[in-house]
Amino acid sequence: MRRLIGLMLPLFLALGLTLACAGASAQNYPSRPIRLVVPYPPGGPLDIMARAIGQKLTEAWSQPVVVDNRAGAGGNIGADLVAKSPADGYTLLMGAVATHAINPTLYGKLPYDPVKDFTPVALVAQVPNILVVNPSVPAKSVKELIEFARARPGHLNFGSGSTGSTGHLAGELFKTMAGVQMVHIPYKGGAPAMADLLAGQVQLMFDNLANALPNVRAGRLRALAVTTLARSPAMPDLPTIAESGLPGFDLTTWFGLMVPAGTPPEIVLKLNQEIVRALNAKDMRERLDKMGTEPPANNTPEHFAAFIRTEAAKYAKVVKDSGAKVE
Amino acid sequence: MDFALFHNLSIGFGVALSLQNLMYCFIGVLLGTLIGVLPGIGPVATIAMLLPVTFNLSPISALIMLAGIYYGAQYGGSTTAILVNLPGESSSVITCLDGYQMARQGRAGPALAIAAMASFFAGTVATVVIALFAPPLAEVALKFGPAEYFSLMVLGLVGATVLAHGSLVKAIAMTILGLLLGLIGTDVNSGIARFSFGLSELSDGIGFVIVAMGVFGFAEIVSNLEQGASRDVFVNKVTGLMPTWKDLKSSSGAILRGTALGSMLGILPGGGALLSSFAAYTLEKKIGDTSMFGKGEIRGVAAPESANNAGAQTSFIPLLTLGIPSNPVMALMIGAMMIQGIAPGPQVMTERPELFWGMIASMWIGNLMLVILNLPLIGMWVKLLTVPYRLLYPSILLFCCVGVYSLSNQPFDVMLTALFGLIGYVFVKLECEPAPLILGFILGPLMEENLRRAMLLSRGDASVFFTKPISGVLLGIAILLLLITLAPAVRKTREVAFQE
Amino acid sequence: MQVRNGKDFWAGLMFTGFGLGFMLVAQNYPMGSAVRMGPAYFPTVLGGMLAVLGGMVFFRAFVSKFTYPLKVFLFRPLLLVGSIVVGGATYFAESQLKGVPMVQSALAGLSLFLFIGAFGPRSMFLILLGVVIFGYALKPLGLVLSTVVLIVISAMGGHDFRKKEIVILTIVLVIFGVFVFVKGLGLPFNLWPGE
Repeated sequence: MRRLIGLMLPLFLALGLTLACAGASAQNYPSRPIRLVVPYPPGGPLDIMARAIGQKLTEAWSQPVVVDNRAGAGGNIGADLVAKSPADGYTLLMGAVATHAINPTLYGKLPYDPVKDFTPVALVAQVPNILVVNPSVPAKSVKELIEFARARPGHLNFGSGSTGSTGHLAGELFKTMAGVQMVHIPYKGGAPAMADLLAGQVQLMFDNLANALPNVRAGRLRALAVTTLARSPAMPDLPTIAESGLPGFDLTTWFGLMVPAGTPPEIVLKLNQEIVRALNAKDMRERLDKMGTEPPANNTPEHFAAFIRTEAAKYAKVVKDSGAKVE
Repeated sequence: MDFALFHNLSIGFGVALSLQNLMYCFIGVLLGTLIGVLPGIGPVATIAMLLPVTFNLSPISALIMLAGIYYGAQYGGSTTAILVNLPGESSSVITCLDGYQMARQGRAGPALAIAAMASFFAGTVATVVIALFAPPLAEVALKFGPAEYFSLMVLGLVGATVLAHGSLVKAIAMTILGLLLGLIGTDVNSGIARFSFGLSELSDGIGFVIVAMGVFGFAEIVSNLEQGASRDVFVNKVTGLMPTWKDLKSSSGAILRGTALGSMLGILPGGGALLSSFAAYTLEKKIGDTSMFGKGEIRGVAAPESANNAGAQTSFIPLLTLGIPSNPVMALMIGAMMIQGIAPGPQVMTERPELFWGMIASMWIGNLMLVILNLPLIGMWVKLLTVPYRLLYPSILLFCCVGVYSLSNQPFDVMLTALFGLIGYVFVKLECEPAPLILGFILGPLMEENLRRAMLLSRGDASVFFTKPISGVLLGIAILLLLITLAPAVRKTREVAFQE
Repeated sequence: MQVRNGKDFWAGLMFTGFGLGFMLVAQNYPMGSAVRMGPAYFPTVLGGMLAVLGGMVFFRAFVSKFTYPLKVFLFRPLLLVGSIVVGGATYFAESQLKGVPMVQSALAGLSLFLFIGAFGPRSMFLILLGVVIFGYALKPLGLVLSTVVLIVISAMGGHDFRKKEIVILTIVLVIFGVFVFVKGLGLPFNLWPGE
């Protein structure tokens, strides 16, 4: 009897351990907690949405989705971390326009390859930026602003949340397309930039819609246009920059979920389906609506991958034209 | 105006005193105290983890709970600062200086009690300040542009040199060393990672927790052990749990001054709370009998504690009135509000008055709860100090390591803390004060950022620091302070030189 | 000239060293002008100031009122040299060692230990060793085992190693850690190896 137990016990232990380690099988994915890496500090819109989606996934699958903030180097640190993680579906990245479209050109050398190292899963949100000015600037439209700026080269300051952010690049693109000279003032985050904009230290900013909206509605800032090609449903009366004299101007801040390249397609598909379902839930739609956007249409992994490719090409040109560079 | 205030406060208390919100307030402050006591794990991480929980709560309940965590952590951070020389929050660094010395002399009880009482008083006053003056104060905060911030920080740093009780030259040197260490990381204006030696872990700089744990915590443990088994770290004879009447009398002025300073400096986004505790301590050192400062002066606990709690409360003002976060915790609160569909900004006060006033009312209730919670705990904390040091210090080490590791789950951080422990030990042996280093460390990058930004905005005109009124005044005070401090030192060197 | 104040002697050297060090590394970044300061401007100016102050402290060591011996704390120069040698070798041989990360980490670790061991009392070495091991062991070994390692090693750095007490303390702290850190606060630590 003892000999039997002595034989069976290690066998059972081995079996149990093997079963525990075999969690990567797509059949029972997910079978353990999932790590969602957010390459920015906690509290920003990307982080909030990541937590919201994480919560929805947790509810759907009864496995905790834990958000791991890995900020730094414009998002590169977090992205690099996931790029080098095992492709078993248990490490996700909330990638953004910065990590996958801007940084490849902005930073001379990236520790990861945004195309080869990742498999896109689903786009989460595409948020427009709006051009807001301090009321001290007498321009009431984009055209007036351009005239004002042309008459005073080098006088206007525009703020942004960081060098290489969409706010910064929008300003640079504006300068190039409108032929005006403005000075870029970088800040550590959108909040201090907004503070100085309200105070009048900087005169304009291309801030994301959700952040700027409250102060616009309170009359402390004047909104001139949105940076997307199409008008935003949250502010349908606001013209786009493209229709205000700079045709073709199109910049959004977007972010979406990605996994390391080589993740089994069944897992990618499962993630995509659940995320799309989460995004279309009533409360999520409300949140996205408050951010000035709606759940992306036709949200498949392939569509997202194609989107990233076009964005990367677009930003490669914008960054190069602006001359912005980070060592 | 009075009637409107009364009306608003009644809305606020009506909301805050609901059973549900009282419960959330309590949970918040309790949790906040707990994480404040555990070194390393701070309110940012906790609030971030709890955000999903708040999705299902009503907006006001969510905000009440999160706010409770924030200022609860201030109370808890002071506790560890006094007990084991570990600043839980950056603003508790100053409390370490005299609070820990009091604990070593067996006066941990009075120190903790005064800290709690000072914090409660300051919290009450600050709540009133917010209720009455939030919008105008927010406007004042907006008047602080880069030039003004830079001058304020220069003033703060000059004040830091006054903090040290030893050599002035070494204090200035430590401040500059702190400034330099703070510059490690990514430069805002150019995006280049400085002094990172190619290590991605350093590309965003060294966290405050790491430096504080190492230089204050580990170094203290090591130098205690070096003294040998003969000396007791903590005097075992505890001379009473409550402050004496003498203590209370001498602290009352300190509390008032600290509250005033904290309320004013807290509204400035970025570093307001820390600067206010430094400023309060510096001010106290210039008033009255200063012989005991650094050796267990109770005013050295009362002033910074009231300042940092007042600052913590008033740092909500930019958030509630303009929708601008003053620190990472506020940024998370904005996130929580946005998840609830509330866009933080100027109209929150008018469109959702129950939110604004409910929060203010619950802040005061939270402070009350914290005092009631913390005062009885003092007995327990004091008992904890009677544990033999040989058992206490491994526990402290464990909490520090877990706290540091929890920052970003990287072993590198723990190793870096050990390195700073070594550096801190060297500082102790060479009689170099760590407090100016910490202030320089935190203010350094902010100072540089503002200096460069001011120069960018003025297109290279350096006179802007003196021509802008607020900036000019602040710089003037700084220069004055420097001269006052240097004058005796110059005289002394002359004497020494003549003696040779 | 006699060194009167040993503490100031070394403090001065330390400050000057840091100041010059920062200035030197800052040369890798663009300087810019006073109007448009580059990333190197502020550090260079500060580094210079620090070096000057360090010099002042250093010279003051010779004329100081206070006297302290030159030997401020235990210093084992051989270990420091060893640490620099090993560290330098790891740094420069990085390309060769790229394929063998274990060896690289081991050498870096060795260099770090030698460095810590070069200064100060044995107790400090053990405590810092325990801390560093804890940090690197937490993921592979799990919270329980790492705690045991930390408590035991750091307790060895104390004066009074009583086995029974240490065992009880370890058990208490492990239980505390599991319930407060993992179950209570939800920190993502694995309790046991390989989870």
